Amino acid sequence: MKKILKYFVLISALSLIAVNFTLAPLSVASADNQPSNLQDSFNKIKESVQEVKDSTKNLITTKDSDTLSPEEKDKQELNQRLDIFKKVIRLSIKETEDTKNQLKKLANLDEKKSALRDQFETTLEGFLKFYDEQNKILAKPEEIDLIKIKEIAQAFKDWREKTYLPEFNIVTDFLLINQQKSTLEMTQNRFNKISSDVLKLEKINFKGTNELKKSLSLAADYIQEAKDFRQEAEDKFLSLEEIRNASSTTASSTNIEASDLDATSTENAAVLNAAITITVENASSTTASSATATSTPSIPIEDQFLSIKGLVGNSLNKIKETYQIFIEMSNFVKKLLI
Amino acid sequence: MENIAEKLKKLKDIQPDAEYSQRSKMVILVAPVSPKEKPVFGLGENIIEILKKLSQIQPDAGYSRLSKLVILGAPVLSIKKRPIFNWQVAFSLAGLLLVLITGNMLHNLKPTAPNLNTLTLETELKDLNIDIQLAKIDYSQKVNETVSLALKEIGQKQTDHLNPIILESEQTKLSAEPASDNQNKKEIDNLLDQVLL
Repeated sequence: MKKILKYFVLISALSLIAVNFTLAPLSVASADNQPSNLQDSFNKIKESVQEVKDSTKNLITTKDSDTLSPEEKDKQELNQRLDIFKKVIRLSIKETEDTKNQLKKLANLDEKKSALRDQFETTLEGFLKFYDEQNKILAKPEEIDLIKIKEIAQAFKDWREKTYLPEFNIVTDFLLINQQKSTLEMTQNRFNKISSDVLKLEKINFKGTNELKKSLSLAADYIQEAKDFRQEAEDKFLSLEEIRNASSTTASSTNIEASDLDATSTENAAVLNAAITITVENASSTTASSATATSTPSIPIEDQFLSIKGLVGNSLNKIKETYQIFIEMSNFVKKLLI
Repeated sequence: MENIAEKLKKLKDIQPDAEYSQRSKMVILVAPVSPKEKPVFGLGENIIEILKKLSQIQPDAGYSRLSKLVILGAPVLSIKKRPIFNWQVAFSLAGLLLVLITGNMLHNLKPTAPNLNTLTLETELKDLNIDIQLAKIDYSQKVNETVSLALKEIGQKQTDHLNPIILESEQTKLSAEPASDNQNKKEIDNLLDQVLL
């Protein structure tokens, strides 16, 4: 009889523990504090930026120094210039690789976006090859004097401003818009689940249901606003992409004409920019549906791509506010249940 | 184990009857060591008769019964099949079932909102990486500025004293100085106190 009782108590205790785990509403998904890859890559970029800043400071200090002889100063300055340039290349590689990796992770893209993603990946690979070439030049420092490093840096600066940054901004806009799509889907999913919980509480006449429904309604508004911001960003992006594609044809013909006139590369760039701006203006006057182009006809296309980041930022902030509402609702329910 | 030991003790205690014992001894003693040797007690010629008699002898009824009981009782019991129904298991399973049903009933009666778990929501918000994405959007401009200023500095002979990198660094230096000044003042005060005292 004693044995029976012993078994009974033991199994009852075990089953109680099992019941606690099975029926408790805690279903914490991935609660472990794993540092996200996004945070890691961001930290690495920040470190690289700091390295560039530190090297720049060192060069400025040397330039201002009165203690060194002119020869010593030139030698030190040359080394420091090379050091800055190496670090700029390293930073650029990290920035480009990070964006490329994030592009690869994008899921559930339709055919058009998938094609764009592939195109952007190729563009970024091209940039990485360019950085490799720069690194090869830097691998032979004995062949680089003060004049040459200045020329290399100037050429890189021009390339970065005219080629890299406009393309890179477009790629990051595309990335942000599509990453935000996943964020919105996740938030909508959470909203639906919470709505079902509130409905269940309403069925059993839970006393705080009215307050919960008000909060839920506010959350729904925020989610809608977040969706609207993202949609605006996407519409703007796609219309600008169309304009850009169309203008690239115009620009190439303009470039041919300009090269016939022996125009310099700077002039070509100016012509290209003018062509793009004109195309934007034309598009805004002819395409009534393009709200973005209509509202900002005289803004250069690069700046318009930049403003897309602002729209995605607004969408992200709205999602953040939505989750704050969810957390407040959670605390409210917890208080009432105690 | 105790039962087996007891049974072995009992087995040791039981004895064959005197006649059986005596006849058996005789048979063993008269048996020739080798086929050519003569029996020890000269009884070899009658061996067939003796053997015939030996085949007829039987242990007494009591000895036979006790031996059978010991042999059948000890090992056979140990490999006896377990009964299909076990009260211990039955009680335990009943207890488990009772606890599960009660727990489930209590759970259904209590209002819950499993999707409004604070920890889950906070984790989900963290996993969305919203803050990192916002920070990255802001930071992208800073990256461009830093690279642009660095490249400009490589190309210039003279220093741009309005270079934001320098201004930022000097600002940081200046904001750190008052703290060290205060520390120096404290140290001087302490030294003066020591001199005066």
